[in-house]
Amino acid sequence: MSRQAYLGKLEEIFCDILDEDSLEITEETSQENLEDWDSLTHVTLFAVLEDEFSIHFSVEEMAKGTSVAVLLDYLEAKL
Amino acid sequence: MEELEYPLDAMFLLRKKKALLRQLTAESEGFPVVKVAILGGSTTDELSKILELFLLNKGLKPSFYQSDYNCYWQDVMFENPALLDFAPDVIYVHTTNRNLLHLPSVGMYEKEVEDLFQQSCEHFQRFWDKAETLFHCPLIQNNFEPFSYRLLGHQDGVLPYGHSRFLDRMNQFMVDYAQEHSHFYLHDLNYTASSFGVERWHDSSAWFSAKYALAMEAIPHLAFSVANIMVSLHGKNKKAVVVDLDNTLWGGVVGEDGVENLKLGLETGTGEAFLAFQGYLKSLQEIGVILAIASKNEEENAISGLKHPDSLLSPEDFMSIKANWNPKDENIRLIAQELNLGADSFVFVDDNPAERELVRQNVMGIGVPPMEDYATYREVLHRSGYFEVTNLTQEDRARHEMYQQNKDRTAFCYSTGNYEEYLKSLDMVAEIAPFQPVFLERISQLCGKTNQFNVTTKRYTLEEIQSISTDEQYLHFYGKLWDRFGENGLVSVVIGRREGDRLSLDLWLMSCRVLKRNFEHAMLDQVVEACRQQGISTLIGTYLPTIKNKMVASFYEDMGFSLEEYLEAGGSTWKLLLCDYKRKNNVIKIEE
Repeated sequence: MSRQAYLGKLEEIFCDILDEDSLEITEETSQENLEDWDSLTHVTLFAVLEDEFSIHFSVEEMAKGTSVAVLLDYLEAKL
Repeated sequence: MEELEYPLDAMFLLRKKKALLRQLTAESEGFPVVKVAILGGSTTDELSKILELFLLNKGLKPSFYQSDYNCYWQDVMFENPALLDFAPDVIYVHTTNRNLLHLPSVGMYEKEVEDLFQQSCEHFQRFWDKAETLFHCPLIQNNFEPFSYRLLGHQDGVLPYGHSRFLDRMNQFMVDYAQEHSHFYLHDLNYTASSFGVERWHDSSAWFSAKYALAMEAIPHLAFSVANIMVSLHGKNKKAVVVDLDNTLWGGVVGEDGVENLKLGLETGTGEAFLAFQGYLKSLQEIGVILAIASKNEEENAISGLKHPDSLLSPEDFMSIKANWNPKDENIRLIAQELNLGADSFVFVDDNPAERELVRQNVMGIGVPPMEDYATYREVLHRSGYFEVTNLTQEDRARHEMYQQNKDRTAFCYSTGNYEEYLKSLDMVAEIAPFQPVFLERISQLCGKTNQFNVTTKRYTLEEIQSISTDEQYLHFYGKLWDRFGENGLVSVVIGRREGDRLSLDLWLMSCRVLKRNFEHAMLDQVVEACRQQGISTLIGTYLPTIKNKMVASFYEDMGFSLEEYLEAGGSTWKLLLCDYKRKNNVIKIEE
């Protein structure tokens, strides 16, 4: 899958978790600029990513994966 | 909502919880509000969000207080003002084995381990005692789940300093406490985690990352399990199981195969499986669940199947038998009418997915568990969590018998004709008196679950009922009723609050089991008599409408009260001057 396709998947996941159909996610989206991406959502997000892609994240990856760009890097590296 | 019934898709719930919350909230108008304090020994945010979904799904509207991270003990012991202000209706203490801080070290002497154990017991006991003093509300406490690893392997539960042994003893200590404190409800986390699978339950990443004491995927299962206790405490358990017959209570189709060829009994594995399910239904009946039948069959065939020599259930076990060719949703509504219960308090058990879907779509709120393999019917029904036991009273155990007597009464009524004559011929005897300690549990249970004949639908906890029973400001009455067919039990409750020479009726309820028996007349007679002795000259009654209590909209008018005023949203207040009140009851004898 291409980075662009992963971005699309991520957008779907963000839309579901945050219950916002029209949310647009880009490489630049991060915990800094997406208000609803709080620490609680962050934990849910990683649980959903692990389930969706059948992968596992380390504690450190979870701590550092606070932007879409980093998440895409993870997905590309793991899949 | 099917997504919130067994079997749970935990990841779906985690992912879609906001959308589900939005949908459930839109339909939650008029739900009773329940203030839930979650006192956690680890992170509880996700838990509270999922718990909210399950409670809304069962008709309760929760608001939450969460203690700060791992402040469950401090919040109570140091009386956190925020928690005091919140004034919870129910407390859930989410502690886990992560909160067993002082565990024995290898090689410790028995005496040292014993000291640690006593300290740990004292830590919790002081906390529970204090919570009871402060809040007088039900407290749900997790016991401890198995550890994620065992240093001493199989000896961990055996050697004096084994951690598993320590944990088992703590769990026993909680059981002992539960047996002596009626407001204390154990949540068996040990079972919940084991049932899910200990290996999957624990996720140390979630602990190190966010201090969750269980895997995210396990949280919906925990929330479901805890919600079931809260649902039961608020009287929202299901009350009856409506079962299909062919391939549900026995293997085969009785109308085609004939009784002699049904698979039921110990001869074959299949027969044994159906027998086991019948045994489970029989046990449900023993804890107060009503059984009924909705089957596509000729009635004659249905009855002959139930008379199979190996059948554990017989026709008499069912309060209603609808064996005909009408759609099952119609039959279910008829059964509900006959039993004076809401169809939303039923569970429908049928092996046929098409029938299940029909009933699910056409009977709002009914439970429809996925009965797909007859070998696991028991487990599926159990895991669906419809009959969580919180207060198992004598009355629950005798309920089947009482409904049976009701059936006899109806038959008797048809044979007499004149209604007053019929009532007289029932030889009814009532006991109507102020609350007594032995009945408080039954009284609070009735307050929690009576929806139809309940003029204000005010809910009282056991603790509130206890305090009313000793408060001189209140006049309170319970009513028990017997008749020629047996005992109906404690079936009516009235609570009045003194305001000078007036008595304001805060609560008037009656079990639907004794509708149309003029028992309300007998109750009013006794209320009036007690008022006269206390120098009270006027009764004030209020009707507060709900979706379910239309049958009492004109209750006070029927009792001879005059209208004071109409209230917002269809309510009304009523007044009765006691100076010219004449006794109403002439069909029930009152026990002195």
